[in-house]
Amino acid sequence: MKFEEKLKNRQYEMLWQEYCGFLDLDIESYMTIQNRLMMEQISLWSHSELGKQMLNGKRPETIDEFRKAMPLSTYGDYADVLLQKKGEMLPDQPVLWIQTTWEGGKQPIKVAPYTKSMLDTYRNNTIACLMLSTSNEKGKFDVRATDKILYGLAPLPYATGLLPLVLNEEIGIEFLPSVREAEKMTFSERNKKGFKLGLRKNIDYFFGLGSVTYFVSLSLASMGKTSSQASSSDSKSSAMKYSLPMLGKFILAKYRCKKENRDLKPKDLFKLKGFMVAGTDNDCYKDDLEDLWGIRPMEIFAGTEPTCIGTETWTRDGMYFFPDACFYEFIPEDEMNRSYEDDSYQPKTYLMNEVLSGEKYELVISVFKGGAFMRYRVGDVYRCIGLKNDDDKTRIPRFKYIDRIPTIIDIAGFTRISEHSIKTAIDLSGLNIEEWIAVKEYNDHNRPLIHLFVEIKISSLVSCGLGKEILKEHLTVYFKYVDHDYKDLQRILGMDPLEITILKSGTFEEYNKQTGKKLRRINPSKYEIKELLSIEKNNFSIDRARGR
Amino acid sequence: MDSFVYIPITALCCYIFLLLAFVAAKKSKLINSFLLFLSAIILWTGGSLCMRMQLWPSLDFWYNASVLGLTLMPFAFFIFVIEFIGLRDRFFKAGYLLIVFLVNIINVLTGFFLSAPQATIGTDEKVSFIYNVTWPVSILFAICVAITSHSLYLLYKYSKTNEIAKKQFMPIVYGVFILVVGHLALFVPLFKGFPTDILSGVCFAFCLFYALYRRRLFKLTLLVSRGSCYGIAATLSLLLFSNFISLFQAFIDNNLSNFKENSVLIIAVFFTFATFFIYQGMKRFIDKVFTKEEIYQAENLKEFSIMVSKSLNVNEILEELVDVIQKTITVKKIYICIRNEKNDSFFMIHSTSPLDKKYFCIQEDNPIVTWLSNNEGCLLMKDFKRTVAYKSMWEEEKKQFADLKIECFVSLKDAAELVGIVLLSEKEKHSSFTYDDINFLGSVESVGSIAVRNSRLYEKAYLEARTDELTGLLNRKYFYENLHSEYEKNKGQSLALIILNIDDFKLFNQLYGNKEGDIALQMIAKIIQASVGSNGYVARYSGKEFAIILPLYDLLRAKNLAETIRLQIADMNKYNKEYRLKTLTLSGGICAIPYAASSVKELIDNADRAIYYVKRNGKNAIMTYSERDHNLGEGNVTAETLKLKENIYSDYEKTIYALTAAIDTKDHYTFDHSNNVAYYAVELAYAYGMNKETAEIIREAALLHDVGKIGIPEQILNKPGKLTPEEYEVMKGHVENSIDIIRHLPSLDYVIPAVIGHHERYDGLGYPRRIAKQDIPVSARILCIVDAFDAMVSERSYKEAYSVGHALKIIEDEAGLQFDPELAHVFVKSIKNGLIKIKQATSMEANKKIVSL
Repeated sequence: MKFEEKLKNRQYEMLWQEYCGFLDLDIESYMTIQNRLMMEQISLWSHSELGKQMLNGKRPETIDEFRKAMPLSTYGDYADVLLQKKGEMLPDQPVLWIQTTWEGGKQPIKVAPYTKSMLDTYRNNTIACLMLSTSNEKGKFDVRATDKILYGLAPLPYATGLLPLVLNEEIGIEFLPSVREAEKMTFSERNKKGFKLGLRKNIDYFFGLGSVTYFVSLSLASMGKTSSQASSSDSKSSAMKYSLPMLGKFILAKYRCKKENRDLKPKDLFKLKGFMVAGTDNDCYKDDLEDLWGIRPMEIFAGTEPTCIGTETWTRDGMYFFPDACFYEFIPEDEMNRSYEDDSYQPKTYLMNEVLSGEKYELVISVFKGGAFMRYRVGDVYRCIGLKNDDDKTRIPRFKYIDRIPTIIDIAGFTRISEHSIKTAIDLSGLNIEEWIAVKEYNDHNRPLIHLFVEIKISSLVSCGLGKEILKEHLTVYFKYVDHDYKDLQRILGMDPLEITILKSGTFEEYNKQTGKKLRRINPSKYEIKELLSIEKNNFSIDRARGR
Repeated sequence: MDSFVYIPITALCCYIFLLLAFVAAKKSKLINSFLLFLSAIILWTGGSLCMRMQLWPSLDFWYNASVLGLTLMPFAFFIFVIEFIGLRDRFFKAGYLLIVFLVNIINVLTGFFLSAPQATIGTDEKVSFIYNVTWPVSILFAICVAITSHSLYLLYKYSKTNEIAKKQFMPIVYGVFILVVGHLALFVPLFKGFPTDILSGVCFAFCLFYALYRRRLFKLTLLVSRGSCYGIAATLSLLLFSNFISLFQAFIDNNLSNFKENSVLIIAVFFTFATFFIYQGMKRFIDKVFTKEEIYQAENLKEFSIMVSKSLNVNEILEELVDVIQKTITVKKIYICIRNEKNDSFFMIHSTSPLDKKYFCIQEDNPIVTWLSNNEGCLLMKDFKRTVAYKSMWEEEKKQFADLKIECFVSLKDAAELVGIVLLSEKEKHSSFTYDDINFLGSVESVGSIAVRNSRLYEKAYLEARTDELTGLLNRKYFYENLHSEYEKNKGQSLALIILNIDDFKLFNQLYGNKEGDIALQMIAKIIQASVGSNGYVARYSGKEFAIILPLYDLLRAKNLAETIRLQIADMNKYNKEYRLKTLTLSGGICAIPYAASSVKELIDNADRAIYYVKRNGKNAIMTYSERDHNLGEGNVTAETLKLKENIYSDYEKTIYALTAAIDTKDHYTFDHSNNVAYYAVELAYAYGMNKETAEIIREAALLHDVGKIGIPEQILNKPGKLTPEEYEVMKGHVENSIDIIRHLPSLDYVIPAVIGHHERYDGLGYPRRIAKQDIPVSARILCIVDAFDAMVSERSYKEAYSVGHALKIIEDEAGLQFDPELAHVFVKSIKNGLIKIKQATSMEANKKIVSL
């Protein structure tokens, strides 16, 4: 029976139990599901050609043996098999190959296989997300087959394009605009069309990257503005956009805004049932989004490799991982840092029933149901914020998304900048930069930015014009050239996230001399940057000045 | 009376039948409201009928009764609807009741709405009723329509919030529709005179009844009891009696005037039979229509209970279980999985058809097993799919169940422990499992569980008493029991007995430990059992002996079977594990009645004797015992067996050569020494009267006896002067070293007894095991003497060579202390006669030269 039919039968309690029942699990039952599915996956995977190749002839029988026998992996370990889409080498024939950019990889994209049963799980879990996004308390939700969803995410072959497909298999929720139409549109066309349709048909859900939903919401507000300022000849056509009740709502909203002397906000026009955001930096936008839509967005976690693995609940206070999507392991923060300093170091991992409240962890997943990735470092860092929650009566650990791993700078979920990409941009730009570090920071409006601290080559200080603006312009051009996502960041979100600080020549060398250590190029710790800046302030002799 | 009078009569009967039935049912507000409705409709139909028949007391009375019934009907319907959807509405309830009564009182008193009709007798002498219809009659109908509409509105409102209930009450809506159509049809000329209103009333009543049935508010069996059968049969008979008695009487009077005097008796007998047949017919009809299924279920269950209480055989019980379920619920397939002994999974051991695949198995940690263990009752797959536990199902498991189209699971429990699972596939015609099915399965489950529990306990006890724990074969006691009974059974025909004895099993245990030994025993048992199958009985006769009783077998067939088993066991360890174990061989003896024995005792004794001959003649063979062969066992060892042995030994030669070469590179003295010892040992063995084969084993043992010295440091091996106690300990270790090397060569293990014992002393003061006298294998005792002799007559770094005479003197002195006196005597004598020649010892210098090369 499809979800829609079950909805028609009004078996709400059963539906809640079926899709969101995992929230009632205690940690033992949670681990039973995890362990059981992991045993299935180990047996499938280690019999596949990929598994045999990666295990080097070892035959682990239990989960412990597997964790000992199999080192942690990254995409590079799978690239040979997956990029050529060698489905026959995998544990199960993939139905779909999902694509994403491979930050700092050998090739521009990476692809991940999705099997039939992975898609089944994905579907059930996204339905759970949909239900939870509308719920205000345990067991209560409001999903109808006639609902409309404004969908601000990319279509296939990106992972986000899967959601409309799998959801529509179960329930006839209408996507604004329809998936087929959306595929042919650019991002902004899609948003505009979506809103126009929304004005006619109403919007019940909104789902997108935090940053994108924010941008889209602002443009909606501005659309309201333009339509009110439109000349009388336009007003007819703009009125055509609205359905009659919506027109009424619009006039009321305008009146209210005028009275309260503020701009029109989406919440004046739409009463969202559910609001979901994904991606990074959602924290920066959540408050503003709540203000705009009158409902706090619920964060979910989905990715290309891990599928849809986690969701917040009605309390909007931390995410829970679905027990049947992946097997989760967690690398504690210090182990993680050690592993990034020393490539050969195998960090320790802990399981869901071993995490501690308050600790930061890097996530490691093994995808269930014939997935390819085993003990795979997704590159995301979470903080465990509690092992149980009295508010939503759960007894499993909940997490808060922190950011990408320190070696990657992710801006608004749009682009992932690695040391490699910055180095390429600098090299291509031909700018005489001696040394640099890049740090992710947030500006006064709590928006993410990439802060580049550079030191100019002493020899070119007098020969080239290398002002801050020139550097920024140049580097931006080359960032866009190297990283398409960066281009989109500016094109779609209108963000210009690069900030440059020029350091006194010799600062880095002096730092090395004084501290005896070399700074990590990407995201060194705040203390280290503070130290670097204080060293810069000090008077030190520049060795190179003496003709080296 | 018009020609359609039977319609109201039938309708009335139906209503009364329903009323009687429901009076017997368990009361609830809803059922009470239905009873009220039935009463109203009876009043209406009955009143109208009585009026048309102009019965006592008066036309007016029946007319008013029928109007009361007619107006009460919408009210009763309203009450029914309110109860059906669980609404509390006292206001309308009381209001409508008041209105209905007011209308009736007014009408009775004044005839304001519709006064009673006038009965007029027409020209054709038919009575017709003329109504004086005036406009107020529309008020009457308007009230009825309003109340009914209100009820329908409530239903509509309710349906918006409850999709499932909609299906349940749709029959009610259809009923109302039919009622309206029936009343409207009165005005259609085609139906003139035909009481369509009454007919539609019947339909309406049945629609309500059906709605109640869909709600599962009552069990039909309870409703339609024997009591109602009697009641209805009595009513029908009474009707028949009252209507036909005068006709019957007239018939007898006119046609059968002879029996006129006995007419009362005839009529009484006739009506008694008639009543009886009516009752039987009624009962059959009711059983067939209403209670057939339930009675059938109950009967099946009863039969099942009786059957399983008679049996203590698990398989029989399971067969009955499958049978009863399939008979009662029309499922396509039934499978039964029972927990295996290791307690880690449930294996399918029974199914509806023997052609079904049986390799199906459910793991212990399967979430379905967990659910069934923790919950009572049966589990429907479609419900289970909606639980969180379903998330942990493996895709393969889901597929397994889907392939078999499993839709329902029933647990079989022994106290709280789940011992088995009954899996039911989909039902015929894809219908779903009903509430009754589930109830029935629940009953089957409890009866089945108890039966399975008892039979399992019994079978366990029975098996434990009969079988050998390790191998699962019959134990010795039951072997004798079976042998005796088979002997009695097959006295006139033939009965063969094979006894198989594992060769050198003690050594196998010593080499690999008892655990490995037990595994080997189990494997051997499995092979024997598989080869014998259902043709005979296999027992563990003693520690390392197996016995096979083969009824109707002659010697030749028994021997062929034994040979097959022997060959399989010889191959058994070849394909085993990463490392190779020693090949286990069997010595077997066969005897059969009537050919070679005439009593059970003789049968066993002769088979034992045959084994004895095999053992004496080099083991690893099967021999039959027959009178002719008495004492001539050797002739019966097959030629192939001997050839096989030869091959084995020639293979070993290379290994021995490799090992001695290894000693040579390390310590040339030891190499020479081993060669010398081999020569002396073989000569001594012959001198002692041993056969060629044993001498060969001793030669090999002699060549390898010091192979462990490879592991002794050279400075200890060649140390001039006396060894320190620590060094001596290290030196003594060479015996164990030798064993450690040889044990990895299963093909050479037969030399181990000689090697391990060659430093044991006859008086028990040697090493490593400190065994004495005959406990030391004779081959070791031989090695002991010749080893010491060669050492004495050789020159070593720590001593000069002794003269032969001196050495022999020492041997003679030590006879009975270090050496076996008998062997020592033979050895000294053989040297002295020149039967054994002295090998030239290599000098130290020559030795050193070789080493330096």
